[in-house]
Amino acid sequence: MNRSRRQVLKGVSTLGAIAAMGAEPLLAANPVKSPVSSGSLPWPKPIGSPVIESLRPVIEGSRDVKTHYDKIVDAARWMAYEELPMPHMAVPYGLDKNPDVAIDFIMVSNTINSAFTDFKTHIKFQTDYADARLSDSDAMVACLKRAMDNGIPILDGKFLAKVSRPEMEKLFAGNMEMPMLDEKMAVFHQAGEVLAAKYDGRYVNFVKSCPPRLYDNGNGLVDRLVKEFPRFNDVSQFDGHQVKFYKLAQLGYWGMYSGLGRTSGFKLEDPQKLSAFADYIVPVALRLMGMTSYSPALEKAINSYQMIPRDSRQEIEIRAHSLYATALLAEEVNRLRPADQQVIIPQIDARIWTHYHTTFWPHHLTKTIMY
Amino acid sequence: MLAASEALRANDNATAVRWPKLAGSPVLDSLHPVIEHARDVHTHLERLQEIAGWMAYEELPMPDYALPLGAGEGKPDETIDFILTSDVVDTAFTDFSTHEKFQVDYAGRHWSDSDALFACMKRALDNGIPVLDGKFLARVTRPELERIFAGNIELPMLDQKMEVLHQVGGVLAETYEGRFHNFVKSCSPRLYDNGNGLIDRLVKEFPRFNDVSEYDGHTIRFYKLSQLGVWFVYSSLRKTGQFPLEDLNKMTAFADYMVPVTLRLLGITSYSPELEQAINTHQMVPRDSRREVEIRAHCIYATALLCEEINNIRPKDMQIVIPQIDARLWTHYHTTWWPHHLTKTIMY
Repeated sequence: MNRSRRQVLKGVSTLGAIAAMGAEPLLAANPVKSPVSSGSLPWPKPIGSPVIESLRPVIEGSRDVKTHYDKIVDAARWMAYEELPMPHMAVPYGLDKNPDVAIDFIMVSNTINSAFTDFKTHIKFQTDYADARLSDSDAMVACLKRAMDNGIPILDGKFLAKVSRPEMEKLFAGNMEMPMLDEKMAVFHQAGEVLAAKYDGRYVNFVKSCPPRLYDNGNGLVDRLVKEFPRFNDVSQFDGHQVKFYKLAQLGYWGMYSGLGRTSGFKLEDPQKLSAFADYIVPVALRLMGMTSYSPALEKAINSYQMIPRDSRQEIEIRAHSLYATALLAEEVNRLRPADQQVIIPQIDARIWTHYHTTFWPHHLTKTIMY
Repeated sequence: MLAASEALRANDNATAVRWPKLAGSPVLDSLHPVIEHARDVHTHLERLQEIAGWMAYEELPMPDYALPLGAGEGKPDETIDFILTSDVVDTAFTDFSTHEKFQVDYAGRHWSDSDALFACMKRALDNGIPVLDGKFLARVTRPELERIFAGNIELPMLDQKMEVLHQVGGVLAETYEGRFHNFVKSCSPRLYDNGNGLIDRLVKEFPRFNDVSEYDGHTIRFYKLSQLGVWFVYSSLRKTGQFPLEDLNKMTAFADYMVPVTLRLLGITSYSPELEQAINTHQMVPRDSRREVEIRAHCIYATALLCEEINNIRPKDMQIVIPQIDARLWTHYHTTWWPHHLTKTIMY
């Protein structure tokens, strides 16, 4: 969720300083070995992520997006020495006091965590709550909390399964109608029915019915979320191959892990299998830093705010390269860091995202509920 | 004079260096001899432009600084007193022999380095010790300082810090009724103003802030703590409008230990193999040595150019001042384990 990811900034300043002290300086500034290669294409060491494993056909067959490995190595040589903290993402509105409610809240908001800017007017969705004016996903989260305060059972699948359009309009009252409101209502209906039918109406029951792993022979938290809730099945077809992104599924669990991990309200044994979260902003950062580049046609399309259709070759290439490049970058960064300061990909994602989420450089525009 | 040397430089194409357009900062203006003749430190313009090409699109916010534990809250005069008095001893927090950092527990929290100093000052105030009063500081004793700065170790360079507190306290007591805010009010609301600006007068009236070095017979100005103190006050009071600063754009980076590390890691600067080795093996780089002067001068020079390149890319309503770049570079590496140069000094 954008809100949670923004909290990262606050955690960056002070923590982890002490941990850095005991380590011997690693002064070998030259990463010597290149990663496991297949042909001429650098490929990150397998981390057990079906998402990253599915990207190969796109990376090998790309026309409009390229990743520049030499630039990744170059960036790693300075980024490795930043703190790159494991973010403490605050669960909004202190809801982490009750981990079960927090899990429900994170998952319900994650279910509709996309598209907050009107596609015609380019106005952002805003609402006022608790004496503050909030925008984008912060505003959506505030709407859900406001509804809870007013006794509306928005965490209950039985309610979501039948929520009406007028109810949706009231829930998300703001400066304008919430973008893609019909689509958001449809995913509430769909997810709500599954929750009501199988999990007594609660996401937390679904989460507790899974082993504490993202992937586990089809039974993991991500495995089952994307299978049982089609809304999270963020995949695209590319040259006859299925390419997996799982943006919101992964982001939801990352939010729980970093927000609730310390309260043991949510256990996760394999966070190192997370990829980056293929969104609008991370590709911008990679492109600006030269780690990726675009064909002149794509560059022009983005910079002149043309829509990049969902599931188009260009959209898939943009997203696939953002996951591929961040995986390589995490690996290069780890090559330079001491054993007790290794990072996982979402730490790199957070580092990149926080620096550019307010940038004035244009990002690609795609009409989708997937991110 | 200046025009003549400018012309000379323009004619000498072999050693022509690109100079930031910013004029009127006595700090930046004093760096020419170092940048032109440096042996151990170099700034790489092409790399700097490459970095500006992506850093320009970061937010690079104007920081709003808040004093710890509510010190000075809602009281601009006290904020000024607190920041500038702390600034007088805001240096050297790591023991030079044991490499241990100065740390303090206060108000249920753990503080280290400069933050620990601020916590000590707040603790003293909470205990009724008049640490913001020049009359007290002018005569503060060693046992009193030991108590004020009680922490995990003795505050490094405590004797030197006592000395500067005596010096500064004496001036404050004699001329400004003991308080820095009276000094600030007697200056023009500018950094530099024909000798009457805040920095002009800080470095003149309080020798402790006169952070300069000699290099090939030239005086090189750094003014690290005086600029930093004024910047802290500015960013603490910016939103209240109580501390206008008409020439904020003349502020340079704060030549410390960390910003040079960032520039070196980003490849904007590079060091000679000898200097690189000296730093990486934790050898002392003596105060006022050629190398120390070159490290600090290139830090200020490179950040000024980086700021200029970034502003060339950003829209008019998003232009930045150098301390915003300084903050960006400092925050990302102040906890890094990459070694920084080691110099025993009270100037930074």
